Amino acid sequence: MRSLLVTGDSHLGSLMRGLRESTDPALTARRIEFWPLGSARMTQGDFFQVDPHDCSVSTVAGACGDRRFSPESVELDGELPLLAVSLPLHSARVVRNAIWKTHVPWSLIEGEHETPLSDQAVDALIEADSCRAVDFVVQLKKAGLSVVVLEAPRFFENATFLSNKRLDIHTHLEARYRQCVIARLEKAGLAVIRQPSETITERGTTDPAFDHDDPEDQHHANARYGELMLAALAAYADGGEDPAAQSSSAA
Amino acid sequence: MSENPYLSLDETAFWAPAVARRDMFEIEGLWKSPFSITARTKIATFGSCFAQHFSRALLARNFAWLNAEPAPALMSPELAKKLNYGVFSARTGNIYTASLLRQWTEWALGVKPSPPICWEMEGRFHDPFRPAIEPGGFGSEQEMLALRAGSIAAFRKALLTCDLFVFTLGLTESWWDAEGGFEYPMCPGTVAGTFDPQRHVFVNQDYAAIRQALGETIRMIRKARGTGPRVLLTVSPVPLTATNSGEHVLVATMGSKSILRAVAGDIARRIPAVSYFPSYEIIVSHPFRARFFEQNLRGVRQEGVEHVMANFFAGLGDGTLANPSAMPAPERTEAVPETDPDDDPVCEEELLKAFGPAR
Repeated sequence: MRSLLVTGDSHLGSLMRGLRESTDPALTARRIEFWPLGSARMTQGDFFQVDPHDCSVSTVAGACGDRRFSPESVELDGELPLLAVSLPLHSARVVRNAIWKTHVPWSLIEGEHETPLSDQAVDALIEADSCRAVDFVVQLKKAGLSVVVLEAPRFFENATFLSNKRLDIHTHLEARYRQCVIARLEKAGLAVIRQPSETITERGTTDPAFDHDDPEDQHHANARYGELMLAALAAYADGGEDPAAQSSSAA
Repeated sequence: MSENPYLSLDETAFWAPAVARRDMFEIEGLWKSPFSITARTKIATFGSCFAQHFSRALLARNFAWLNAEPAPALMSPELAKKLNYGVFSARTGNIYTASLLRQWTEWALGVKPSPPICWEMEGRFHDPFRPAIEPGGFGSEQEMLALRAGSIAAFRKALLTCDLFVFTLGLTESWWDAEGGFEYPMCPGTVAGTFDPQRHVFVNQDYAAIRQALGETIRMIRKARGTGPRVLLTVSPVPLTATNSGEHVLVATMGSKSILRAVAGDIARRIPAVSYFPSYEIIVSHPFRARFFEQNLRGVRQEGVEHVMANFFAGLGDGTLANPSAMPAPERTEAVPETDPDDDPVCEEELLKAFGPAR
């Protein structure tokens, strides 16, 4: 069983809880470490540095302590673990942004009160939001680490940010964000563990059954979700089929 | 010397004291606004490329420049500029001629529909009426038409809600579609499209045609609103890049600009609440010795732009406006929606719950 080192943003919370509550031997019998880096907000600034001399990448703006990533520093039990990063597919800053009250992707325009945005403009917003996080995982791979990216859960339909807003606009953006970023990751040779299909509704949102236990938290998923993601990650690490990759067509 | 009208004239009416005996930067009183323009006046700006300097200068002085098609607040200024947001009050691209302004106005006010034409090049789709608006073109004809419709709606909003409409006349030379009877902003085949000599017709507009187009446009806008807006006309000092008139480009430039200058002055004299602002004279006239031009004698240097705008603000009667550094930081004139409370507080909390000491 290959060891796992899971790092990244606050969506690590559900994974950690999922591991704690899991009885699945594929998880419980495996060495799994967590290196939380902090809120995904950090990706809006220069949050990491690359040291070309010793092939390492170091975070410099994490709220939970800065980390150094190199083949030596991430070693677990004398082996190189699979490094799973939850960060580049954190779409919330774009998807939840208030600009979508006034600006709308052109194909969804319903009236003159809405300002159409071209696909190029929407994609450029996504690129600007995700570029540092994507570069981070690209640099980790270049440093000689075995890296895979974890998809963050889609938003929940009961989230208050959706009040008086059109669901279709936000699901469109959610899908577009993932499509754009995953295309860039795949181009860089990075695999993505997709959100498990059983956690996605027909409308492309995350099933409320996987909502965080704290009703105040409308953003993060629960332990059940985390366990499913970890199971998919473990299957990938062991060379099996990524169960989520084939079935998450809602993306 | 017997009594005559010249004895009572202001110093600015005489060449020697107003120009010849002054340093070029001390030539003053070139324009005085005939109507009130304050920082609260909602100002829309359109026209040829020189018009974009107006918006920048207005924003730098915290004036209420009307941006009817703003970039989303999430977009960086660099990206917004690349996508041609914030250049004019809507994403019309350059409106070089009075007849093109009339065409946009007719579309905006529902007098005529915009022709549903599109230029495809290597799988990308370009708007014949704004060929450079979207770098690399649009992904489909439908997208191109939807974005054009959005800009026409924004242009209408600017027409109907501005207090002051600033238009910079740029060209007399124009290209028309013989089949559709509409005008292109640029010759097809230059930035995009394919030139068809049977269909694409060159028209070098004369004084009468330009006078008629501009007069009709102002009347159309005012009729649609019932009242206002005030209008400020300028003429771009930027020479023609090229002429199709058969004349030498220098002669063609002077001819075109002279006609535009004459039309603007005539309209300002004859139609109420229209003023002519002499940005053309400030850059081009010989007392300034071509100082404000780039080395190619075409592009206008930033110093020239600043001098033009300093004269504009001086003409408003508030001396403090000439120096933008003395003004408070610019603000957006369009209401920018507040960003939803982001997920950071809850994200920090989630991390502490899962990984903190109290877990």
